[in-house]
Amino acid sequence: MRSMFKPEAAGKQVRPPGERHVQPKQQTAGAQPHKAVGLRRKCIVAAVTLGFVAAAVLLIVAQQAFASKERAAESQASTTGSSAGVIASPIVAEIESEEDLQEEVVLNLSEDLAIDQGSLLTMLPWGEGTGQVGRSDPQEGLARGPEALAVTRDGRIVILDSVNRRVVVLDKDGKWNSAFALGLVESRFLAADERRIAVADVDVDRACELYAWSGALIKRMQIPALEQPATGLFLVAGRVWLESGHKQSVNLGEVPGGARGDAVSSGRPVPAPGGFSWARATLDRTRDWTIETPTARLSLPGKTEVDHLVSLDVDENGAAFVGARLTSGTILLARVQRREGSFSISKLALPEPSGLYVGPPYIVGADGRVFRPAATDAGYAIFVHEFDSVAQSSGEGVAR
Amino acid sequence: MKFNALLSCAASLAASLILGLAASVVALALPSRAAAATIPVMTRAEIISRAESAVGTAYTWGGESWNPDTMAGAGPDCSGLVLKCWEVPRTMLYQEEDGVNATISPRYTTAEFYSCSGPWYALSSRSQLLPGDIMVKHANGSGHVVIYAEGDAWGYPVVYEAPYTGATVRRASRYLSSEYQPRRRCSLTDGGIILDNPTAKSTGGSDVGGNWTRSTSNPGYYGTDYQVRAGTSATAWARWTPRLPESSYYDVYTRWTDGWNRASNVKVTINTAWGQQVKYVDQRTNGGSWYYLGRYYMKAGYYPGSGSVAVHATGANGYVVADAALFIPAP
Repeated sequence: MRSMFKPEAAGKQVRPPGERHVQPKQQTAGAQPHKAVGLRRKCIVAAVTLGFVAAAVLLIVAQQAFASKERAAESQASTTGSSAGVIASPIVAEIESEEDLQEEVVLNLSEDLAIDQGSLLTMLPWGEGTGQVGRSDPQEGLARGPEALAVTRDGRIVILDSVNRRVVVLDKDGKWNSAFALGLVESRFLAADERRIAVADVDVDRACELYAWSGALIKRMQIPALEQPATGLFLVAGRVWLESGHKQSVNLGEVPGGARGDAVSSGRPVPAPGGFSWARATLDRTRDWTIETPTARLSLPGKTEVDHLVSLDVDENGAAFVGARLTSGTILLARVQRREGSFSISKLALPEPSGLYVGPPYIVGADGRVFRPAATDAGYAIFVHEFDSVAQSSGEGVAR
Repeated sequence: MKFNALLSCAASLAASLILGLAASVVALALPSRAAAATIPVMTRAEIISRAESAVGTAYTWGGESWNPDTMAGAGPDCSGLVLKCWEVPRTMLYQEEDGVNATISPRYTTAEFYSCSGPWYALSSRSQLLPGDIMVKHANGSGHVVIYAEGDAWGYPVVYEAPYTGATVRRASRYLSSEYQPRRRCSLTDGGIILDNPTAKSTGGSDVGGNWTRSTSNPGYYGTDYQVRAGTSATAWARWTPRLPESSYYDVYTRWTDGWNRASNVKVTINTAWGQQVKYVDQRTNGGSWYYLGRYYMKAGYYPGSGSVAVHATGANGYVVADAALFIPAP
């Protein structure tokens, strides 16, 4: 049964208040005979002039006050929740069972957690030359930089340099290695494994191209019609998958024993013992998420604190990662790890991206590290976050 | 003699000050009145349908010439997509289709969408977003705006956007940071029921108690005017009762025009299917936009006791404004 909903945001206004005005009271000046007509006329002229000057000054003051309030409101709106040092809703897990993985792990939102800024791995200046990545900042349009990022198991980094229509490869320490041009017009999705790099244009060319690390084109695959917009590209267990609507994935490669069109699966592919498995999240009418991973079945009470999910991953050690954007703007990321029949839960609070659009706010690497791209004045930065380095984030499961 | 001259001088000064102030009020009110220009009533489905018709057209800076019916013509830029899908101003649609785009005015941009300088208003939370609303970002002279289509299986925003030169209009899943602020077009029929101030009955009934006066003195009102009354110890309230299509949750809003002489303790009662809720609002600020009162379960039909909102002048410490109320079915 739905309960009476009174969001905390009720009553808050984003728009600045309208101009304020003083309603003038009507007054009339009685007309009396006077002999000093010349003096009076001069006084009247002077008074009228003064009155209009005063009114003009008042008008200017009122307009400036209004503009000031607008600026203050915009400033407040633009900083809401994005730079606060502490948030009020981190994730805590409660474990019911140590043995049965089918038992549900509940992720609650109930305690403070400091935002982790991470450590800077690399910074690439803006530009189109070697060692640089492109930025575009139109007056009316999407201001953007590189729109996708991928990290392989051995730590190599791949950047989709969208503006320059190329792929940039960095070593695991973030140093420039190489770059190669793309034939696709509007590439937005990227995936990589130890052997190949996949890039997808789901809008104009509607194709996915598979490249060797040298930049040699291996294969071009057409993208079939999708029920929902594309939400992710994956190279898992040697197969290329395109996810749509955070709901189902289409195998873009050949499927042994079946046609490509048959290969539509619910959820997104994730690494699992013996190859790959599926992870999926569903939202019910009460705004709670049920999340299924090979590691554990999770329940995330969303209610009003969670705006939407941001990510769902599994690393090569089998740890599950769930990220959510809170209504405050903070991104919360939880790691659920099974250890000796029990669960260990850690969490990170990440700053929300701002400025240029640089794709999804972060990606989870195969080793469980979190890579966060950021647009700065100096260039495109990649920060690395590690769960184990955040002292207050870890905690063993507590019996529910 | 001199005394009389001084009297005349003072009277003239006062009169001209009044005139000047009146001129100031008019000058300040002009943008708001322009913003409140009549626009057609639309459905959310119409907005989405228009946006869908633009998908695949080429982003064209300063343009919005595609024809939604024939799906032909050069595509829009980001703000062009919104103003044509929203039909703001009304003349846009026809001027563009006749190829007379040089005379379009005002040509709203992300700056106006962001600052609510037109027939739309800010939502206090993106959790209130419905299909056809927009998310807009504007800072340092540039900005971007997208049309919200829906939330996907993760609640992740799916939007229509005209992204940048060289790209095409698309329906895409996009992460939207807090820099993007939600806005809603006025005059949507299926997005909610708007009841204007009590003397201008709209799509429902209204009741008035006490002596209220119509006014246009302060800008930011919805429709042609607003209703105002001084705070009093007597019974004085204005109540809007919509004819609700179904028993359900509704997001309830009201609005006023603010001013220094307004009451800061205006009592607002919301009559729900589960009883009456009471709130107090400060009308010295936050005027000219829809003020979110909360989400309440209300009964289908016309029932003042279980589906209405009332603004009370009783006990208020200043002037109380009853401008309009808005009831939007909760998603």
